[in-house]
Amino acid sequence: MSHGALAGVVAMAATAVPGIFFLVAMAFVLGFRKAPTIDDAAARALVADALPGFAVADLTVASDGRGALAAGADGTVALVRPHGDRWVVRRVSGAVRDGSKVTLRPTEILSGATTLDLGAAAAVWARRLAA
Amino acid sequence: MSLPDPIALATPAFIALVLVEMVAVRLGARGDYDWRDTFTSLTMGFGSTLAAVVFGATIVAAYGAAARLHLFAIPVTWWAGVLCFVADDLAYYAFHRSAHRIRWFWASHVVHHSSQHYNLSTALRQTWTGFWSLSFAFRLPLLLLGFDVRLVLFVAGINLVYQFWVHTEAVRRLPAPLEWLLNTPSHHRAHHGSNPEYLDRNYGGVLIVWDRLFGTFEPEVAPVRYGLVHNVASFNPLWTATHEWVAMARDVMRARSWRARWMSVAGPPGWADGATADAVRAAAARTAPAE
Repeated sequence: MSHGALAGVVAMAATAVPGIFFLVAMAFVLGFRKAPTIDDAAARALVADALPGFAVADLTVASDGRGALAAGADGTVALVRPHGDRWVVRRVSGAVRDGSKVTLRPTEILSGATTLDLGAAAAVWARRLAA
Repeated sequence: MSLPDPIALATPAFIALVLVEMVAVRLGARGDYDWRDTFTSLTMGFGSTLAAVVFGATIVAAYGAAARLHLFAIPVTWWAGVLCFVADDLAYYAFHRSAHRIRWFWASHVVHHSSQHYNLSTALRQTWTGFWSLSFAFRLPLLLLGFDVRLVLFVAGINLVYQFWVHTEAVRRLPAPLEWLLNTPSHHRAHHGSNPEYLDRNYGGVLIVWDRLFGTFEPEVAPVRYGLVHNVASFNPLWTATHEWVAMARDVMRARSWRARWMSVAGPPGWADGATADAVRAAAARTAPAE
């Protein structure tokens, strides 16, 4: 890269980076920082949209509404978890249970652990996820 | 004769309009933002401008080499500008359709579709890897025809600037003649939908008539679910930029035949998982309630 191009990059960064942080801060200040919850119907719809053909046989929404697990007729399990103020759905396996809480660690890069309080259903889900 | 850089001129307006849209939404206009999503979109936009600086000289050199092989010597005049603009928009249609139907190109373009929001900041969510997926090559025919390099870059800039404002939910419909002719917020909202009926539709940049002509037009009817069928689960800009390249490499390494390796790269997105747009549409049709 030439000196001229490098100077251009530095000048661009000097204006763009503060601009980015200003707009992100404005989004935060204006209240665009929701943490939504879902119910059974919404979780089913999310799974249906993300995993076409996945037939939900059983579904449990976390007690705080911040996620859900869906069991498919084929025996696989799908996790619905928050992503910002939206949701992502992933097939998952394996889990650690601690009382009514189940913790899942998807193998996907940068996808952190998700802990769901599933109440009395936790044991059933832990068994399914271990299968 | 020098021509201005429309993108550089418009960038301050882009930033101001994102802020205006945020405030408008807060005051009741249709639309939504999320601060984390906005961070990713704006950072992707910044990174794409850096990539343009890094690779720009190579692209201009390629355009110059192609221009030396020109069929015709087309002057830089207003009528050549109009012709070039229309030809460039057709080239954009070809690029955009390829970017959705061929995974090598999609690996770059997926970045633009990776937000589950649809607002003016989404317009700025651009790829960092467009050079490697050869997106610039789709404009080479214009130079081979004989359009001036400066004119091609100028109309390409206008095309990109036009596409900024269509990334909004605040504008519902334009008057019918404009909806017939132009890519509008309504048409482009459908393009950003992961609903089965909206997948791989409405590729037009400025003119939507290409989609009407080539059978890829879909009007916005059902509420749009923005994003991907398989949405990205991270706001990390580096992962946003590279996740599909990583997935493509994984699929190539897992493939058991040369055909599977080829299709993992040159086939439609989702081929390796059996989740192409056509397969998603077929699955949705199977599970849809009978009318």
